[in-house]
Amino acid sequence: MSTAKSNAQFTVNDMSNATAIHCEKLTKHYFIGLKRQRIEAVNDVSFEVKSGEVFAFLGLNGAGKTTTIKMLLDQARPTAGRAYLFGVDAARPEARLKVGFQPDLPNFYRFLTGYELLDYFGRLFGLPRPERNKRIEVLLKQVGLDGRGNEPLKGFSRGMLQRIGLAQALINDPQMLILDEPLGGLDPVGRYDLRHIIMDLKTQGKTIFFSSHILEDAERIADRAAIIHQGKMLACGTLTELQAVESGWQVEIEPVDIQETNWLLDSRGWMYKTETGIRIIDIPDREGVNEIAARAAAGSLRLISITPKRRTLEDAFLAKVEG
Amino acid sequence: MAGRILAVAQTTFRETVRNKVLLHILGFAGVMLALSWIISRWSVGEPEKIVADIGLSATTLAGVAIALFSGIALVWGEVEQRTILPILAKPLPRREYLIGKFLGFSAAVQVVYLAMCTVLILLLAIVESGITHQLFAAIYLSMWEVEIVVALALLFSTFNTPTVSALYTVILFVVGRLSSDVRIFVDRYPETAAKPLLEAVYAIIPHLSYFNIRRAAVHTLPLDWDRLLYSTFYGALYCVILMTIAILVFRRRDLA
Repeated sequence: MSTAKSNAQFTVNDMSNATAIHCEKLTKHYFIGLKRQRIEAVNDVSFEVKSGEVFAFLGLNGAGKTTTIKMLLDQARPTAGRAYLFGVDAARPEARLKVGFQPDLPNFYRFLTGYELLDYFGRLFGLPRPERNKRIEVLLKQVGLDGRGNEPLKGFSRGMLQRIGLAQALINDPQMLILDEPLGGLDPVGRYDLRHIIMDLKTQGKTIFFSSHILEDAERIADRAAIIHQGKMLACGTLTELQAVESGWQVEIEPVDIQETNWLLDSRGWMYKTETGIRIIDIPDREGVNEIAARAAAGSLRLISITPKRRTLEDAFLAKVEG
Repeated sequence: MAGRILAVAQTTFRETVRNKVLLHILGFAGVMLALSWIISRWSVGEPEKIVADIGLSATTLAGVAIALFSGIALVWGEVEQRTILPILAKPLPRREYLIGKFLGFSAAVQVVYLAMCTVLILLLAIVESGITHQLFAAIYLSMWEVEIVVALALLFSTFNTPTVSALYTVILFVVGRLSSDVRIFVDRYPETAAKPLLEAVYAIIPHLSYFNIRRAAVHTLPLDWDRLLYSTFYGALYCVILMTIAILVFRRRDLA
């Protein structure tokens, strides 16, 4: 049975192929204990992930990242709101046809070998045997488990399980990968390898949606990011947008009239340092930059450069989370 | 759909037969069968009846034990250990997952059960010609009894911890084995407001006494073919109802 044939029973609405994920006011409340205490895991979260982009879903532990991913994969039912994968309601199994998923702390059947596991998952996608065999060989090589496919998973280390987890997520050659904390359990080499695999997949046009609390990795590979905290979406945008929010400018000037320049810097209270006659000034607001530009136009100083000071993603994240 | 169900069933079959619990229960059944043979050597007259009686009880009990101990964690264990997350992230409807689990687990339990029965039949062949069509009918009906325990354990494992599932399954198994006595009790109960409730309880519990024709097998009594047919129909219907409830329960469940 070919994949196309096996998938034919599903009627997929492909109207929205440009949008890989669309979430509308996604909300999940849990009720626990005898008193039915309400836990608001996710509240009113809306965002979109475009096809072909690498999207980082950032938040502290317990922020609601995994719950949101579970709602995307129909593993938790939203209390309110809806989610769509490639235009198909996420509650329908066919929404997951073009999706690969790697869970946080992946755990698989220990009684299977790596090869048997990938073969099993390939069958769930209706891949014919020759295609499965070919894909498994390629994937084991891609994730660095070449020659270890016939070893039982019970002997795999955490890093190896993470790698076989990525391989199973790619078994159907998905258009989108959803990775829950993919870099968490890896050693530095593993993280380096995975970042490269993700970038390689991006160049193939795949969409990557990954959750993480490791901001350094997100900063290196993501095109856009969202920050979720205590179940609420705090920010969503390109990394440039998230990092450049009103954090000031660094201006380099060469004084022409030294007295006037010194008076200006002292009276405004701007921090600066002097290097070989050039003053490097931290200016917190746009008005200050305008004033420097006006003085430069009047000839009392020579303007060398104005550079917006970008925050690191960590700065942006902490600023959002700490309010 | 069939391909996905078959994939789940084959993996579940593999999981069950590689489970170490199985070896312990098979060991117990082996000891019981050996004991039945030893006792038959020491007893006066009709050794094949002793082997058949103890052997049928031991194999059925072992089949039920395998269904119980492996079945109660079948779905719950997968959710707890999170092995279910990558599986249900595939385009696999939850009903297909459960049906596959049921079929694979049933097949594994029945294969093991039939292997034990083959040993019993060989023992009977050694003892004396105690192999009758009643014996085969008894084995056949016991398979349905085991099948109902499989379905019960699977149903409870979709929403309960293994301990609670084991408790519920054992209670229903014991009450089910006594279902003919429950019928007598309900019939003799005075016509009060509680009687419809008792009737309802009787209707709900599995009538496992339908599947016990050990006496006919041991004493080679004539077979009631209508009962055989009715029991088959009842067993199949009961399993379908249990699986339908399991699917309805599991369909709405959040995976922790």
